Amino acid sequence: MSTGTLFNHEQPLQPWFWAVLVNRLQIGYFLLILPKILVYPYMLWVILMVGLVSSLNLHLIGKCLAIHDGFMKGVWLRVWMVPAIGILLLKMTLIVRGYAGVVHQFLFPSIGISAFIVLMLVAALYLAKHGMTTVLHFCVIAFLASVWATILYGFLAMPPEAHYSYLYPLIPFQWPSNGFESLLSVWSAFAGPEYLIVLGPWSGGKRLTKYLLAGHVFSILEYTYLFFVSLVFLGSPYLKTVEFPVFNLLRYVQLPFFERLEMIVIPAYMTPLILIISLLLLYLYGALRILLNRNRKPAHTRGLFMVSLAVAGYLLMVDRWLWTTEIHRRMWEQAQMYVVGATFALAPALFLGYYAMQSRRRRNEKTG
Amino acid sequence: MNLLRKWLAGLFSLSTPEDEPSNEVHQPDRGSALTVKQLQKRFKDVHDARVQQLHHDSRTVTLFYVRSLIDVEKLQVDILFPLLYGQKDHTDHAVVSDQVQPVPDLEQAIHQSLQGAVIVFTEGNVFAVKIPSTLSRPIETSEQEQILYGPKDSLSEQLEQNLTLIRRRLPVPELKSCMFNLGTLSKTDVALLYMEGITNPELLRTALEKTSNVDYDAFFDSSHIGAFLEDHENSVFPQFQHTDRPDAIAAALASGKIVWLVANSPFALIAPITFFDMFQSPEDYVQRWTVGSFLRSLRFFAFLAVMILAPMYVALTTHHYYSIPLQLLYLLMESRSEIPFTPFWEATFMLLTLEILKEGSLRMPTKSGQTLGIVGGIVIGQAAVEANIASNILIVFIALTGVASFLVPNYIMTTSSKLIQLLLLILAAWLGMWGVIWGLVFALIHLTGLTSLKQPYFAPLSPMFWRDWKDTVIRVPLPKMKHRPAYLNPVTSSRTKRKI
Repeated sequence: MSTGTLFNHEQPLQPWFWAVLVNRLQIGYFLLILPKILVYPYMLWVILMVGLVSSLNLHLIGKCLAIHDGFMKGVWLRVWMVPAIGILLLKMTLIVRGYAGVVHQFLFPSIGISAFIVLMLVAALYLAKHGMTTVLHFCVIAFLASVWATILYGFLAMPPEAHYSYLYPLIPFQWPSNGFESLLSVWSAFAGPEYLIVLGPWSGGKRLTKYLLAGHVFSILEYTYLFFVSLVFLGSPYLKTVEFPVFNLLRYVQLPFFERLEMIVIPAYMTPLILIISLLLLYLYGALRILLNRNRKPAHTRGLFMVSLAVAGYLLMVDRWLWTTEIHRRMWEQAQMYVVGATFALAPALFLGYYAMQSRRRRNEKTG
Repeated sequence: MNLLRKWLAGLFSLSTPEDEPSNEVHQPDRGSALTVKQLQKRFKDVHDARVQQLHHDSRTVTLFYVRSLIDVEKLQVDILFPLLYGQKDHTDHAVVSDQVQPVPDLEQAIHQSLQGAVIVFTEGNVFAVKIPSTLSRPIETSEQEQILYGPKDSLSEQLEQNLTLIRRRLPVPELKSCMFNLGTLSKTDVALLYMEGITNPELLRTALEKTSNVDYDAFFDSSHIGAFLEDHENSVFPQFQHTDRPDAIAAALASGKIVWLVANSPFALIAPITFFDMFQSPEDYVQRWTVGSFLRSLRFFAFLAVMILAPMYVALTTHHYYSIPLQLLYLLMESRSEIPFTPFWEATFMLLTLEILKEGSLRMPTKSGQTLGIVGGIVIGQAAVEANIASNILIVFIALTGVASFLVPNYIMTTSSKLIQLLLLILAAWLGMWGVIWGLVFALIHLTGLTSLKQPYFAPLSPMFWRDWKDTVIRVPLPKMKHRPAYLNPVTSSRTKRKI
């Protein structure tokens, strides 16, 4: 890989890729824990309602993507990079450590979590080193490699395995005790596409809102479907007690030649996560370049490697000291829920506001 | 021929190098002096380098050639006879050949004579007449890409003959060919073919640039040149399609691809290619489209099976035995109960045995190869089970892997899959199914980043070209394939309007 090719954007990304990207960015870690948080059948409405509201944000992201004139400059941009790096690291922590924990719990209790953290980072670095365009192209592979698993849940969605009586009550008699947390967790589950706002140069200035919305609608359907299956198969009382219900459900699917399908589905689920991690690695490298005022120099693969090494060190430290118990896990999930929810809500609006300010200033400079 | 020679010798005094000579022509200011003596000096100790002098009507003509490189019959009929009977004032016009070139300096003379030319020295003039020896094997059936129906001819080592086979299939002036001479020692002729009006000019520029920049001493096969043209030298996947089928080459050219024909190599190089091209066979278009599509999908399935069957066996029996249904597990336990090795060593041993047998049967004469197949397939397989080295179920998996590997038409791709299979085997032993899928994801990342002649290798999947799916995993009826592959970005996309 020659230097300076990491952020090349010679050809715009095909429109359908944006739909797939939105979908796979949304289907992250929260897919695994969402049914356990929502629990009650009437929460199906919450998924649909929050999905509808968040589609407004997708409109804003679509507008952000149409901007590709590199207006972001100056000291303020460097200041913004400090919280951005923090948010990126937080997201990466939950995805990598969270997923490695799942693999450790379900597949290999005898193998240390750190081995999975390192292997996932190696794969993500290998993808990231091919450059942003290749990472974005990989979204199709990530989609195809993981979306098939949703079909397997169809075995559990039909009677006699499924009990539709668990769907009642569909209208709540009273506001649930964890109502705010449920709302926030669903909102956070739809987060992810806000990372696309800076990818304007790869959009070719096209109007992509309908494609983003298409991906978003698919995510809503996926979340609704998986929550529905979890609910009708396990029922609310039992669902509360099950960790990672999406994977636990698969233990009940039996094929004539294979059982315990989580052995295949959990590894397959790694593909979209590697896509997200490699995207975050590139963002982290880009943010550091801006912070250190080196964004005019060519982007080196060596620099990306150093950043990945630092991230690996950080994640291994988190695994060793900061995420060792279930309470820690819950804390990280809570932190992620608030921070990611806030960035999803604010990032597109702030981006557009900043752009409007810059445009006005440039207009004034020209006329003045 | 000897009679003709005697007759000519009688009429004119044909002399031998020992008698002679001093017919020297000095070329002013063009490097080394071009003289027969200088040529003889450079070809000292080359036993088949010959000098002949013809004397007739006070004219003296000297010929220099390397006998093993020229067509001796043509020398007599096209050069000697016309030189003596042809126009006396314009010797070069007398020669019956369309391959007459003036020779400006000594280096050119050496180069031409090594390309099968006769250097003709007349008073004040030197020219080369190219009459290379056409020594070649006849056109035979392709051994590497055999098909039941469809054209049977294949390329040979003769570049001109190969060009003829292709030009016969595409008899249009838009089929262009650029000649290169590569290799400081081998002086290998390389023809770069493309279709003007179809091939993307940017693609052509890249191909021409890469070919011009090739710098090495000797090339003895097209794959040697391919190694200098590929974008990713460390990849296990082939970035050029090697084929000896002229119909496949013509089809590639008509699609907008670029072809390299290399002298003394019966295999042409085709680029850009995609991962999916490796699974296509000319016979797909002979079969009914439904059958062709089924066979093609089967090849993809076979390729995947080659890579993951043995690693899956290792992963399931080592780490995830509880994923195997009970009845199947009983069988497996019974089969493995006497085996003293871990599933990893069991599978590695059997896979390596299979590879040794396959390599052995490929290199051996056909009849011995068949014997080896029987010995390997039946004797070793059965013996391994009875000696408790391998389980029955593993033998079934290994046999399936072996047969499945022959379904992929491209042998280079098959060999690549073996390496991936061994790596997956190690990952399966360490991390079970997670390791196998991690390895596959790694391979998919690699494929997404790979390019062939700067074009995406994993097209039409990533990046996505919807239209190209008509001829990828399945193929639709030929009349429905109205466009050339979009990933090649051809100048003329439509196949139906004759715009070229």
